[in-house]
Amino acid sequence: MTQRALQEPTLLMLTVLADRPRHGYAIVQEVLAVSRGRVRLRTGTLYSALERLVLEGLIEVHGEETVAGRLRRSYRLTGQGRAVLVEEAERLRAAAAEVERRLANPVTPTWKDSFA
Amino acid sequence: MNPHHPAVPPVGPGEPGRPGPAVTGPSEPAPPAPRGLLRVYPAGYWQQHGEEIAALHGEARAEAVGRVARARENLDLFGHAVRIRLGISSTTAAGRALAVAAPYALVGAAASAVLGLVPTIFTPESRALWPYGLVLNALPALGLLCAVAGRWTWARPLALVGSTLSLLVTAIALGPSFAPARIPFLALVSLLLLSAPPDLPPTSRRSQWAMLATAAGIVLPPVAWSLGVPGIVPSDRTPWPVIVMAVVILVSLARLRSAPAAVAGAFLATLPWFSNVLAYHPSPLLQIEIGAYGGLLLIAGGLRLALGARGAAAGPQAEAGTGGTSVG
Repeated sequence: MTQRALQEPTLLMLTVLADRPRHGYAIVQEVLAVSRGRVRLRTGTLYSALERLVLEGLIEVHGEETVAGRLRRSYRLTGQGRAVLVEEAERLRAAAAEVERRLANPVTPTWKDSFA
Repeated sequence: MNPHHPAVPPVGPGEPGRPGPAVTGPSEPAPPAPRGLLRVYPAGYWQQHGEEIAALHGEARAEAVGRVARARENLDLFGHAVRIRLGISSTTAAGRALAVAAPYALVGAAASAVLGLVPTIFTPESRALWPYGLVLNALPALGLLCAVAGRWTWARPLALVGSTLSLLVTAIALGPSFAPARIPFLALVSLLLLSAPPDLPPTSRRSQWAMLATAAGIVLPPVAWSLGVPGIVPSDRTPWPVIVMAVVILVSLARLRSAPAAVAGAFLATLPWFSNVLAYHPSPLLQIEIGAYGGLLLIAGGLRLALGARGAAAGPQAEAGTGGTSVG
C-alpha cells in the first residue's frame, strides 16, 4: 500500500525501535545519536509522538520496569509499524539509487539540447 | 502498570533470544502529584500518564546541561500540558489541523514582513520602523528560509520574535497615531505557530515546496504590480493573500489523499489574512469576504463528501497519516 513519506521525527523514532524495544529516554538518546545530534526530542514532544504512534498502531507498549523509583515503559514496533518502516526504507533506497545513478552519469548539455 | 494506557497492555519479557526489560506487576504506585507547571495537565490525563511523563521528564532534566536546556525542557512539557488541556495534541484532528496551518502561518508572517521591506510597498508602519524595520522584518523572512531548509525549531521563534518586536517597535514609534489593525493578524499568526504540535513539524519536501510556492504567490504579484502600475500601491492588507490561500485550500481539496485535517488546516491558515483585510477594509469587503469564505467552506464540505468514498477506497493509511501530515 502506498503511503505518504514519514516525517523525520516519526521516521527516526520508528528506526530506533526497529532492532529492539526501548524506553522513552533511550529513544531520545538513540534519536539524537542516529540524527548526529540534529534531532533532540524533548519530553512533551516525545510523549506526544509516542501516544500518536501507539494510537496509529505503529508501536505498542512492550513492558514496564521501575528503575531508581522511576517508571520506565518500553515500546516496540508492531507488525504494521515494521511494514511502514520497510516501505519507507524502500522509498528512500530508490531515491538514493536515483541520485547516485545521475551523479555517476552526468550529461554535458550541448546547445542543441537547449532547443530539444 | 496503567490499565488505561491507549496501547495494548505489555506482553511478556522480550522476544525469543533477546532479553527484554523486567515487567513489573500491576501494583505500580500512583503518579506523583503534579507540581508547578505540570498542574496544567488535566487531572484525569495525569492520573493515566503522569507517572511515565514525570519519569521521562526527570531523566531529561537530570541529563540537561545548564539552565537554558532545563528551561527548554520545562517549556516543552508545559506546551504539551496546554495542548492536552485544549485537546490540540497531535493525537487529535484539531492538533493535526494546527500542524498543517502552522507552516502557512509562518508564510504569512514572512510574506507580510517581506512586503514591508519592499520600498515600493512602503506602508506607514514600514516608514515608522525605518531603519530598524530592516532587521525586524528580516527575522520572519529568515524564519521562512529556516523552515524551507527543514529547521523548524529555528523557524518558529524567528517568526514569532520578529513579528512581535516589529509590532512593539511600530507602536512605540508611531505613538498615538498607531493603528491597532495589525494586531489581529499577528495575534492569529502567533497563536497558530504556538499551538501546533511540535512532533509534527513540516519537514517533508512537499511541505517545504508548498511554503515557498505560497510565499512567492503572496509576495511576487504585489511587488510586480507596485513596480509596474504607478499610483497603485498594493500591500499585504489587500484581499490578494486570501485569494492565494483559497487556491491552497482548493489544492488540498483536490488531492485525493488529503486528510480532512489538511483541509481544515488550510482554512485555519487563511484566518489571519482574512482578519487583516477586515481590519483595514471593514466594508464593503466584509460581506464579499464572508461570502467567499462561506462559499469555500461549502465547496470544501461538498468535495469532501464526494471524495469520501474514493478516499476510503484508497485505504486507511492515507487518512491515518502515520506522521505524514503535510501542507498542500
